[in-house]
Amino acid sequence: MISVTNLTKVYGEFHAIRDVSFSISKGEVVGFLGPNGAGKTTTMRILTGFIPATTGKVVVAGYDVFEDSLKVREKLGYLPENVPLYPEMRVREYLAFRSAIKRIPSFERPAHIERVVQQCWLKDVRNRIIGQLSKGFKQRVGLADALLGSPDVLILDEPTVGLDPNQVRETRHLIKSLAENHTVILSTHILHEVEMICSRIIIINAGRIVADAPSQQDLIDSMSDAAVLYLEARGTDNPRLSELLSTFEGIDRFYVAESGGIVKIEVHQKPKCDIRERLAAALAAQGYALRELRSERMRLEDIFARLTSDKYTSVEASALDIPDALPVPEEPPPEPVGEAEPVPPSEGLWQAAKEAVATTEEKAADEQPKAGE
Amino acid sequence: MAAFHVFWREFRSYFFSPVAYFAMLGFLLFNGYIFWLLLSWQSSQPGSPATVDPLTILMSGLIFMITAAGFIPMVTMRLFAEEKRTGTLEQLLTAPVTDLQLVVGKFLAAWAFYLSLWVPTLVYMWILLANFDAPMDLGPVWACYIGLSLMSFGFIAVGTMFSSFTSNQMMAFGLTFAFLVVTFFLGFAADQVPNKFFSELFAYVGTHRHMDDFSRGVVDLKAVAYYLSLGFLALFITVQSLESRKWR
Repeated sequence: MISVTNLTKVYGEFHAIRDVSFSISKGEVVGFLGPNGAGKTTTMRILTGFIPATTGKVVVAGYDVFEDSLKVREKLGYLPENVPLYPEMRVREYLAFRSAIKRIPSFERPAHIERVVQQCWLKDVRNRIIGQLSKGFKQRVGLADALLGSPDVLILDEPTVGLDPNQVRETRHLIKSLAENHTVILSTHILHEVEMICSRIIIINAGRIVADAPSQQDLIDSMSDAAVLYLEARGTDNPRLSELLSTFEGIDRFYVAESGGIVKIEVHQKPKCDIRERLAAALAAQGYALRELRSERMRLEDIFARLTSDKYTSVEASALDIPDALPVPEEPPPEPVGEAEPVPPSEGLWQAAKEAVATTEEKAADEQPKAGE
Repeated sequence: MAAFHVFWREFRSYFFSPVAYFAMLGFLLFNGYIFWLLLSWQSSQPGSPATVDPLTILMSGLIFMITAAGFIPMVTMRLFAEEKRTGTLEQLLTAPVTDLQLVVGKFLAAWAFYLSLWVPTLVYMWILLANFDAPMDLGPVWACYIGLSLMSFGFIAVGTMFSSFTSNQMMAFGLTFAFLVVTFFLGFAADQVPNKFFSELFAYVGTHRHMDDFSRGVVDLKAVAYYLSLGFLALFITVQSLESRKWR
């Protein structure tokens, strides 16, 4: 239904998205996940034909977005971020206008409008002026607009932002029910939402796809295989330890911190590796007395934090640019592992996740070009 | 067809906004006042038959320029600037509507609204016809209405263009206002320029001479060509400016 090949968008010097490829088949509900400024909106705008890509190819419902833009637009319902509407119009007038410019034949329009009004619970407000509606109703009007004409593809940019918890729940139910007849791409930075609605997850960070899993469980499984190990051993942090770890088969990255003759090590395993026994033996052989070794499975939040944190991208990026580069971090660990001890581990990680997202957000805000102009 | 839907929504939306009623009221008050002034001035000069009727004066010269420069930017400033600011332009441009249909629809709505401001002046014509003793020459009046439609075709298109350049309505207003004032005074500047080429050019580009022609009942083909081509050029640039999102 949607196929995206090597999509890149450059604003001046800023790479909004780099070499993004994915394809989505009919009936999938895809969660497009990423911190703010990761390139979600840019990707969606390209899919809708609102802006063109710098390079790459997008095919939606069998039509090339750049060659047959109008054809694609007929097949597509789009709910932009912030749901722009005409505040002076009444709900029914707005929907009538939208159904007209969406080329729905005039005799079919009333039926279409009636259907979306039902679907989005707009019955009671159809004669109200949009400017006077609450945020939740406006959101639904936008959604109803996207649903007009039963487009094959629905692109929803952060559909639940600004809604109260009840409205969020209702909207999620609605989106879930749409999966039967539509292919849905849904962008969000709310992980919970993806867990609830989506059958597939694409995580994007700094303009690149960092994960694309056919189901959320797959993503968790595949990432959990690469579980993080936390070790504590009596001994000192010395070059021999670093050498051991950096040449150890199955280790993706590691951080070492030492205090008072105890080293604390955080080891990120490569996917589908279980190195616990070998690592324990190797450390013992080096004279380290192992005090603790625990492995932590990840939740979606942790995966998101890991995939979208700055250190991860920098390693990924350098690994992509120089294929032979060893993904060994040169900087000391930003947060000593041991300090997370008193806190329940998942909570500590959640905190880290939030911080990671926050820093990326700040960065993104700086880098993002001014929208609109 | 899409252009018609855009036109209809846009035209109706004028009547939903207070700016439109303010514009209509201001327009009627201003023109009505000037008309009354002229009438009472002329009727206080007994014996001399009026060479130019007051209605023609409303549609030419300085008076017309004041209403045009004041009200045309007010009518056009929101066309694209507002939609850019609120983001509804994204909704429009991701619907199966071409940039050209959008521009044409919006332009026609603004033009129609501006012309509709003039509709009440037809009452003035009735007042004149009912009260003039001597038979009135309607030629210049109709020429003025034609001229007014033509000029506003060009000017509204320019206003549409400036509105598409920015997401700030005041900016769109200012640019359009400046354009109208400058072209108006270019006509006066024509007499002061020694260089023959520039003098001719200024006179042609300037609004002044064309207005004089219309008020004498002359619809010069040069004026028709000028305002039509100004309008089409501005609309062409508007389409390009919308498409410029694709080059960035």
